[in-house]
Amino acid sequence: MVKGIYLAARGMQARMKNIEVVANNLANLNTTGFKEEMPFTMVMNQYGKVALQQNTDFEQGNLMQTSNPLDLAISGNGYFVVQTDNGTELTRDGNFKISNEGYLVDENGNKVMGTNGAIYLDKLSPDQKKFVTISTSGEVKMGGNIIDNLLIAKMNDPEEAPRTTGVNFSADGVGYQAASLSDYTVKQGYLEESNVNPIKEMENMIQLNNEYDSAHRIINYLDKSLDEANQIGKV
Amino acid sequence: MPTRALRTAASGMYAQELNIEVISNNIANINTTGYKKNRAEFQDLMYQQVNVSPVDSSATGVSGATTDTLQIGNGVQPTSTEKIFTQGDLTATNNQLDCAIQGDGFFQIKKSDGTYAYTRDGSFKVDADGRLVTSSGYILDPGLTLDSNALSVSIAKDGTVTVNQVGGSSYVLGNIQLARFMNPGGLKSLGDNLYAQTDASGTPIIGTPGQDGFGEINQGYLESSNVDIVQEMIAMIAAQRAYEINSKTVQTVENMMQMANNLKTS
Repeated sequence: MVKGIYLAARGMQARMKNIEVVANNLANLNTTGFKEEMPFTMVMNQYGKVALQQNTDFEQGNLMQTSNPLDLAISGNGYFVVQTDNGTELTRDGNFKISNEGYLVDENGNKVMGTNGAIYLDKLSPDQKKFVTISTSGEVKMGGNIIDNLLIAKMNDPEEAPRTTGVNFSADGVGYQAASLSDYTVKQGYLEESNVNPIKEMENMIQLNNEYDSAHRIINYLDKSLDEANQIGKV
Repeated sequence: MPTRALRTAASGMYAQELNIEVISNNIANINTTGYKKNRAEFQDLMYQQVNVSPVDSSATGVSGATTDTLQIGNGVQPTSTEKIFTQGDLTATNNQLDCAIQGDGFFQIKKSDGTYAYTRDGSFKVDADGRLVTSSGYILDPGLTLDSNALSVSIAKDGTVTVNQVGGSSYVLGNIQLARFMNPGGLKSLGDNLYAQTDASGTPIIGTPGQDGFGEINQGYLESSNVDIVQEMIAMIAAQRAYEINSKTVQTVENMMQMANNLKTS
């Protein structure tokens, strides 16, 4: 019976942690390139030993048109590669801009990688009539000349990729390879919206709350039973 | 304690509040000439490795709790507002000094402090000295000055300004040039329909309208705001619901905390 109390208490703890996961998904309903984190499941063996399983939902988010030439979205399977101070990261957030030095950078100033290293867009002088066009395969063109190709990566093991700040995934933990052209399309002037489905999250939240309630009742019953057992010896 | 979920939900509510502010500014500018709508940009906050630390005990069959960690996010933060430079509808005004750009580019304006600003609002006027100025009085650059003999002005699609004089003769006064940016979304709004260049936008590229990807100038038209009221209303409804759903997180967590408090009844 004591064992039951502990197991039910673990159930309550897990549900509470899962609410944090759901809360984070709901807070990121409008975050560009955000991928929903599914509530983790606990797999328990007969000794009560718990293993955790945490998955990310990599489903495609809707593409929203912004008409900004440096807003990029990936349709299909693939990630932009950015170089941060903490190593290489993979992201679906293609809200890019130009840095002071003329590099293509993300929202946080991290350089976006091409197949030949960081993509250098050149500081434009007013007489140069150069505009960036990016083809669906990721070719970066300046006024008709191909200057680089976007490096679009595929994770070796997406389920193991640790998240870092922003919507990025750390590539150092999982490793990646260049995605094949048939896997993705790059869309210039678009951003990918968050793939969080509020209805699904609401369902999750209700279910977690109910499960929490059940575990709570179980503890109460067991507590009551133990209390009655304690009364047996009394006169 | 599950205060992380409460903080996360609060960050979500704050983000939606900001979202509503951006949307309401768009709606307020539905009739502003050359206005380009804004969009709030969000980013998720850092993820933490959290230990689930299940209750452990030496009781038979209970020991052996997992030491696995989970990554749980801390909510959302607003990062920037991004301008969306889709084309606005052109409205005919039949006013000869009204110019609309169909396509990419901005009119270049010289401010009184000598710095440049850029605008899509082509409702030009003539000031006391005969110069072409915006409705707020900023001078068009390169400058165009009309003399007192000018009867009417015709502006071609490539920006050539021809002055028709009293008596029937006409001459070419100059050219209206346009500026383009590599990343117009990075421009800074200055108010008065003006934008300023930033590092994120890149330096302006000046060129002739209708060439090399620059838009064409349409005389007698103004560009309406690109705000679509239906779209903004939908965005507003979505933001309100998102706010509400984040408040449900708060309720749920509160409910769970209450149950935890009731664990010990007697």
